[in-house]
Amino acid sequence: MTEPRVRLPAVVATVAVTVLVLGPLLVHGGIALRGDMVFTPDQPWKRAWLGLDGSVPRAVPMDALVSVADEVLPGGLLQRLLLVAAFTAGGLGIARLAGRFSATAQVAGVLVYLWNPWVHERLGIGQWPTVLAYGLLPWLVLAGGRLRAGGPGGWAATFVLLALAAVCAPSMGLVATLVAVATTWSERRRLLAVLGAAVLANLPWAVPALLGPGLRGSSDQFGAFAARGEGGLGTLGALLSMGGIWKVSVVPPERTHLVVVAVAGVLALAFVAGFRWAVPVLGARTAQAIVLAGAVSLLVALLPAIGPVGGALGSLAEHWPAVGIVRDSHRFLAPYGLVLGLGAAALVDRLLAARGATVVTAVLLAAAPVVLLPSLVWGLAGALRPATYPADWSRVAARVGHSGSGTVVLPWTGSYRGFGWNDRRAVLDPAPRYLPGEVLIDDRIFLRDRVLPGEDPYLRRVGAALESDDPAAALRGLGVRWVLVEKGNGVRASDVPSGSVAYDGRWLSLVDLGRPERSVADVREAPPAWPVVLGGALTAFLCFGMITHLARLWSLRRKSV
Amino acid sequence: MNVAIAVITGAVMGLVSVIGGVAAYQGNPGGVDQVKLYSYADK
Repeated sequence: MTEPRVRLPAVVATVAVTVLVLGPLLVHGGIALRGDMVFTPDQPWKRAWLGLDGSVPRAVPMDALVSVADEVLPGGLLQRLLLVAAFTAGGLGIARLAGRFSATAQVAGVLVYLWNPWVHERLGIGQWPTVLAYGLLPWLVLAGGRLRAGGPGGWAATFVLLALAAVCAPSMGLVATLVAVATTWSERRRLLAVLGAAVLANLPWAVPALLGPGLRGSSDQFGAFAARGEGGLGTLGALLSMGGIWKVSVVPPERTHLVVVAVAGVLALAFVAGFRWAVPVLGARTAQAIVLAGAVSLLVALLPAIGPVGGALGSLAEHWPAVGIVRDSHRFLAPYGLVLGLGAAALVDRLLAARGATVVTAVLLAAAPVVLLPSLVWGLAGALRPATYPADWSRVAARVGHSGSGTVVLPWTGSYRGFGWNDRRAVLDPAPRYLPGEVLIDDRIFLRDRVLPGEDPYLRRVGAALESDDPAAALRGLGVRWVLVEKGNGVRASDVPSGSVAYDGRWLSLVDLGRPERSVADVREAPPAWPVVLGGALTAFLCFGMITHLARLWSLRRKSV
Repeated sequence: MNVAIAVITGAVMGLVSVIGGVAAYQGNPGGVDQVKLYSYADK
């Protein structure tokens, strides 16, 4: 059997997909702001990035790394590098896994793995860390195989990739754990060791989540965020071709047509069937691991969408908020992409080997992902076009400075905003990542037909303070000094607590309520610092050690060649 | 048989490319990414 290698056409395909999808970011300046994707020119450091302030640790420790990295690189450049890394890692990773197939087959694998509704929809809601972790999954499979074989660097690579996935998002830390377990579960001692490594890799977010203030889960969240059907085909029909996100407005427009979703589903089934030809090439253990991870991920994505199951999970989440991590079940479909990508490569390789008219079929199948999802091109058909923060933002940030007092952001109606300078795209409020200090935004989720309650008890107190007879005094009692008004988002004059206007620009105004007697940190319940810092430091130390070890192995290997 | 499969696959891909291309050009009928906002039409 030939040595696996990434063939040049697969590299070209990876680069082409990266350029075609991220095009607007590569040719225009500014920062793409959409959904949960928020970068700022210079993200200030704060305790919240390590989960030390008592807020929900959703982006811990990724925000910490971004804040450190953009001391060296501007936020806009950092955004581009991370997105390019996501696509490059994913494309080259799947091609490497398909390294014994023909060039065309590898190209098919790259296209299926990168150009699919899951990637489209995750970028559509701005979950770039999730896409980055998705790009790491093929490398995790490779590392698991090396670990299983006792090859040098297997443990180090597995741990580093688990940690990187956990850094991207807590949910992707769990997904990566699933993939790592699937690749190594056959021996009990090794399985326990891998689980231990996964626990260590996920400490930075798990410790603040466990030790933080009692967060409140909502029983309604599973109904709102579970995967759903597209094109009238039902949830399973959508999930088979990696669609099915909860947010209807980011579903690719072509996926609202039954014919497109049905054809995509049939193709997906063909790729799954084709996976059997990948088994002798990947090796039985690796193939088994990929199928196991893919099957479990499909099940996890599907189950919350089934009424009674979603209801039961919702009830559980009221008492055990941690269950809420699986509410966006479509996100957990990521490992299934490995099955489809490798199945496509295997099927195309088989058809090419048969020669004749089947070559035409093979080429058509290889091109199918792009044909079925044209709107992914050029930044989701323009949705990722970058914008430039108006000068108001830097002026307000300078005014707030490092006063140590909190800033409340209005409107107090959920976390998402629409700004005229960003074409009114819905985006997570950038204020916490732009302004220094404690920046407080409403954590309720406003959907079209209902409002999901917030999870953070301190933010509920802020909401109550804003509704009180003397909101300025009530807010000062909670450690808040500043009120930031984001104009054009429905804030009425009567919503703004009385105070002196410290800044009034075209897009923002800042109101000074007067210096509070206490800081937010004095009032807000937060986890004890030392376990959080210790957990993060331990993971960082282990990662550093493993990366050093891998670098040394690579250097030795180069010298011996 | 192989020729028939290739022709059918090509025809289906052609049909889907037309439907998908037109749909992609027209945009999402479910509305662009929405946030419940008060002072202007959602976008």
